[in-house]
Amino acid sequence: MATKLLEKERTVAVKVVMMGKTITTYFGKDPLSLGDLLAEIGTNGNTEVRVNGLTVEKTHRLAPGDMVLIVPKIRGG
Amino acid sequence: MRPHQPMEFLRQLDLVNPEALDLPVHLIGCGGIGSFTALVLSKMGIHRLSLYDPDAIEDHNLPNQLFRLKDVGRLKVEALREILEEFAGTAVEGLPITIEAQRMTGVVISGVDTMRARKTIWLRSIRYRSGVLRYLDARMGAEVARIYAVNPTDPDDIRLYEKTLYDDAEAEVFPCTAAAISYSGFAIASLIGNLVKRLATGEDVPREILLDLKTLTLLTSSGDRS
Repeated sequence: MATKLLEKERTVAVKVVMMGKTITTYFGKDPLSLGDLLAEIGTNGNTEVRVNGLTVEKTHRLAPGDMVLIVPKIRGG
Repeated sequence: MRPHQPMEFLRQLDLVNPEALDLPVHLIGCGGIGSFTALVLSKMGIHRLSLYDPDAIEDHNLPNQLFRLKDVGRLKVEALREILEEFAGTAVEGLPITIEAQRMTGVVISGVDTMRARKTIWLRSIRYRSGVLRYLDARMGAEVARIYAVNPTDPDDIRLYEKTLYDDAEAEVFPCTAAAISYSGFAIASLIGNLVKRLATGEDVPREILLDLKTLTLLTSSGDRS
């Protein structure tokens, strides 16, 4: 019972860098997928995402301390 | 006035041997990225530098490009040649042309301002060209930069890079009053200079560099292999 309660309250904290905008720490309920996070923070189609520098699937499960980078599609020179 | 002397590189001799920098470098686009990059490379000791840009300098270029007030109206490659000669004693080649299909060797750097131009350069001048040591594609949007280092004959590099060739219509549109600022161009030029030095010395070169001067985030990656 106690274990179940602990599991219920477990959260995952990830660093979210919206490039050109903000850095925040997002707390989500474990298990937290990349897709869950993106839906929660609301991103548009003009971005790509890296988790700890890598391109991963939206089903990728985020771990505490992960850095999620929201990368804008830019074209200037 | 001190007579013109060639630069000596005493302060960087143990960072990079000047002889290692004796390689051809082609710089496509001499604007917000390219103008500062040309200065960094020349000051490093790159002397086989070729510049390509068909555009002339306009008033709105002055705050975020290397050019001087007196350069307005001149071709970018001409003004830049003069600036590099003054600052580094480097005699570079400057051609006021748009690069589409051109045979190039050594390091090729792109600082053009559309994805359409990037795709054309990649497909017609870079992909599968064994003479190109590395293709460096730098992109800038306000305080954000994306830089790619691509070996044009490496299948993984090609696959990963081509994933980043989105259409212009997909790219973020910045308000004209929040599109560019000088320190972004300087920062990108510094990173490109570092990549060229790494190539010259045989050090590891990341496939992707992401830089954000708004949040002060720098991330380098060799990319996934999925």
